[in-house]
Amino acid sequence: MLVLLCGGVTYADDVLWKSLETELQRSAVELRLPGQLPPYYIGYRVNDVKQDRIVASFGGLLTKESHHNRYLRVALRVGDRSFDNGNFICPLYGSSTTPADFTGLPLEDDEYALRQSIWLVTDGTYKKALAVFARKQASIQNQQPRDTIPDFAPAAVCTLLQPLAPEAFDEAYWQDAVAELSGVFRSFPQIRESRVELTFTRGRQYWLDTDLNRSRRNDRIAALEVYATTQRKDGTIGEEMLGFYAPGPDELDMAAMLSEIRAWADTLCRQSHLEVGEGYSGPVLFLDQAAAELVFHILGKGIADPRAPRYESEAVEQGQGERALGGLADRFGHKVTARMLSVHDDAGREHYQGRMLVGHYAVDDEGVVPQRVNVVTDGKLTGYYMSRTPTKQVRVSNGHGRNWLEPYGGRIVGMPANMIIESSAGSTRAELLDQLISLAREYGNTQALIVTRLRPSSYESENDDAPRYARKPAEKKPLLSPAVTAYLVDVATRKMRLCRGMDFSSVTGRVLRDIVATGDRPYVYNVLYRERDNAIPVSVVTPALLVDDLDLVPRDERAVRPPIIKHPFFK
Amino acid sequence: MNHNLARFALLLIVPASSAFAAGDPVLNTMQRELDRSFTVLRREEPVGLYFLQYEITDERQVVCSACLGTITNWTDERSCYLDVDTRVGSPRLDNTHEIRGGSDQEYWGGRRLRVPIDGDPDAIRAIIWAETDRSFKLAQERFTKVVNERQVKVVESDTSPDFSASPAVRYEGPVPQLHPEDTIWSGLARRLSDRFRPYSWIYNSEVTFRVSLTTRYLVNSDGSRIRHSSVRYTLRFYASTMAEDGMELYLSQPYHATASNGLPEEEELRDSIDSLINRLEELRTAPLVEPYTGPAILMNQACGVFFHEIFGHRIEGHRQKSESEGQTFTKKVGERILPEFMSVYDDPTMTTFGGRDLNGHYQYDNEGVAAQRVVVVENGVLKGFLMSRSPIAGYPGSNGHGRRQYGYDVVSRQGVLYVKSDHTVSLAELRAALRDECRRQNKPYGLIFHDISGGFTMTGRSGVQTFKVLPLYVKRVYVDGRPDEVVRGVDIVGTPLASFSKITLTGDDYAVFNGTCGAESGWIPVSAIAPSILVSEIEVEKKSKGQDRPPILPAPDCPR
Repeated sequence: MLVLLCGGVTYADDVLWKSLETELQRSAVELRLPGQLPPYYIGYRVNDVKQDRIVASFGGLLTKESHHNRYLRVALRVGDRSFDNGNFICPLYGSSTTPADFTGLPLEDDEYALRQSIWLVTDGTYKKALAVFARKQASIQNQQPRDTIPDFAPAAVCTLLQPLAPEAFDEAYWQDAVAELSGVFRSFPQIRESRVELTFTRGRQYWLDTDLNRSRRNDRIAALEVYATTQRKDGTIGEEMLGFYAPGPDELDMAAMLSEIRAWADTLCRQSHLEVGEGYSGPVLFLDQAAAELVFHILGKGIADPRAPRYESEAVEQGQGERALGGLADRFGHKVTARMLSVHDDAGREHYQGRMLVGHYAVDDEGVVPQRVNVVTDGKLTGYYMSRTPTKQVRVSNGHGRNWLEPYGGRIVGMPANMIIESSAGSTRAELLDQLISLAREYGNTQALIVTRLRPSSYESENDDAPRYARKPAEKKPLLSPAVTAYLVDVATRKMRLCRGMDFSSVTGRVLRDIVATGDRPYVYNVLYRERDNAIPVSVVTPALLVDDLDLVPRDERAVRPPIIKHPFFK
Repeated sequence: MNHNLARFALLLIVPASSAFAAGDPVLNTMQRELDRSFTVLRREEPVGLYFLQYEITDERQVVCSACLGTITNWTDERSCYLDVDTRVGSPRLDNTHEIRGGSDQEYWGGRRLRVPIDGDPDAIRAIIWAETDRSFKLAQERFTKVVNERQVKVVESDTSPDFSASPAVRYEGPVPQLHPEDTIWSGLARRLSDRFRPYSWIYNSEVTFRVSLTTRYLVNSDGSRIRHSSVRYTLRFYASTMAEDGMELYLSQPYHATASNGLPEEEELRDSIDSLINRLEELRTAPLVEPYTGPAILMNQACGVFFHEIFGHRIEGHRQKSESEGQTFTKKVGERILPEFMSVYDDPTMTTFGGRDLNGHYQYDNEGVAAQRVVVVENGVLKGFLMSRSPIAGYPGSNGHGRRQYGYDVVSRQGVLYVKSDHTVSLAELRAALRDECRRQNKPYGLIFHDISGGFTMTGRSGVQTFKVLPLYVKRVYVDGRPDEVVRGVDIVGTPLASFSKITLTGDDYAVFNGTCGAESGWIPVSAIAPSILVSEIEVEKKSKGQDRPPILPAPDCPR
């Protein structure tokens, strides 16, 4: 049994905890329908979350919102660990009286009111579990057995109680600050529309289950995100985004953000005057944020959620949409990166060389304490991000289970937290540039490409405020997001010039195997990975990465007439 | 008609003046941008702007919800939304003209565009500027489609112009302050919601207070310049349970007022909750009703909902013009469509009725036109329609019913629908008449619909012209003198023309239904005033029901 007790804290006076405990015990012992399987496992996760959101545009305050919510999610399994209702997707829901899986809870600590909600959602989830189990049995009865992997893994018992930490938010200060940051765009006439959003989310996550896991962890994340839309001289319109992430607003550096927003806006404006290029083929040097996004997109998402669930039918699978995770899951034991690279994930780590890591947590969303995972060793895939859903190669959780919402409901999937990429052959920036140019010459190129920014994983393309007339029809999501800041280097003179954003074409999961050199300085990157309705904090620490050969094409964007009337502010 | 067009021509030459040095700063900002945009865009090729309107809806909403004596939600939010209405072409034919066949969602879809809540003029103007550009370009695109379509399709049955003239309105009403009394409200919400606590068979219950202050700012190129505000207080109880056969049952009771002291006293509210609990308990064990046709009484509030859904939506002006609409009443002006003793008005200028505040009251509609009383039916004969500034044959002008929720395009909507009868009897006499009608039809019982949650109706030509109304609390009235019996599990279905012809008598018990109506121009507050009515025949069908069993384990022990 793993027991972590923080500061002698007890939960005797925590009414929410007591209510969950009472209903958990009652349901574990008494909940069963005559003639049906009883639950063999019940887990309760409560997120007690406060969120403040402030949005400003062009120096004016658009909105300020404050919300407090308590959500309970129930994990309930019938059958046994080898075969249960889990890892099977079918569109079943509870009733409005007895909702399944998920419900809101009262905000105040009234034991009876809390227990009433817990009782009803447990009932609905049990009935749904029985129905899913029956459908799962039916769906496989005419199939050849695909595997004998159990559905649910045991986990070391964990008790972790972080002290209740009240979290203040200086709304007045941040209202002014966000307005001030949004006012930066009053100096950039080429930026047509813009806004700055600050979201501070904090609260507690409770976990209790019938495997005797008990945890209460504190969560906090502050996100300051900037959106700007430019119309370039050829009429194309592009919205780009810049994000700053930290555990709390106090850790956001106002002066640094002001400076970075100005520099970013300046780059966007300079890009708006550039001609669209002809694309590029050849070696690409990924620096800083671009290197981190490259690793996260290909490796982080590729070995997340390593075991795909079964679907009741093809129609259900199609309804679930394109699978964003697990693209490299079948490469276990094989090469996934260049041999010089090793990658580990350490969710328990709060800092890296003095820089904070937002991916940190003390216990995952299944109540499992995270372990350091060596996911890549000398280029070979040696680990997965594991929840309590076993895979053929790894049968136990390593504490990377995170809640993941999908069209037919939520499930727990293994996700990256703090990815740390290390190289056995780091080069200085100057040496990297030499190698880039040398490779370009080998290809007969007159130019080489350096990418410093990819569109961040936090960008939501379906944003309501994006100009609708400039949107292209939705296409299949590429493996790698666009290069939004890139420089072409003249091979002869080494002169760098900014170029327009480009899309990667034909990138596959093997791109990291084509890394031929790395930098010697780690870059710490924090981001809120958004996909559908999910927002998961992730940190990536990586050196610069030089990839042997990539193809990029000009962005295919719709061109529209420039504004008919001049902007009212920029006379 | 020609006279109206001439006035439009004059307006095109002399757009609205911006000579407002003083006045509301938000209106001034909007006016500056409107003048600047209109001056340039009306000269644009290939087709210029002839009408431009900006509307900003500033809405602050405070919501407090409680369940079983504990707070479940407290929010206090304020948002400002911008709507830009652009018309290119001419009032005779413009970009808003219906495109027949095919989807037009890209143009008509709801869009929530926020503007600053702090009144920052530069930020407001920047957003208005970008949205005007977007809206104008879309209008030009759509106008091209409209013109091309007219050349390849048959002539429409109603060739009225697309827009009507309306006199400029200048009004800057007071903006009240909202002082949410959080401790008073949360205390009352706790106490009221706590009354559900002893009843373990009530699975969900909630008491919600909601107060909203909405201020609308409107400027347009006709020269209208309007600021008007409204305050709405709403208190609602809700409780639900499940019958043994899995049918989910609920009852709710809303109260609306324009001031906090317009809501009932706490004692009356407690009694109302107790009454709701009693009715829900009756429903839980009530027998199911099989499909039935026969006489019935729709009690006053239920009758208000019935008329709103089945009648009110069919007398909205735009439905008479659209080629895709069923046009139930379009050609029936001057004909009898209701019993001779019934008249129907829509009068958004009414603020109260019988001491109750009316949720559907407003001063000006979303096209800057003052609300007007409209005679829709007089002595059973159809007289007119609810009109926005989109004319229809025989009705060239607006009567102040162009409404929308922010983010949507304006269409004609109801405000305060008043169903009036000259042939009223007491409720006791109405019940006696119900029994008599049952005997005449050789029916053992009739039905009384006391409470209706709402309903929906198909007005489109591609579907069937039917309606469905969702009763919550229904009683059987037996002809043999047995006591009334609560029943459950039925919905009212029918077709509109047949249903209205079956109204035979009304009560004298007028009551107000206050609610919120959702349609193609979004959610808007409405009221309906109606007496109870006796219909000689109504049809009910089985209500859909859940298949889940009631909870397996008993409810947690209540601590008292």
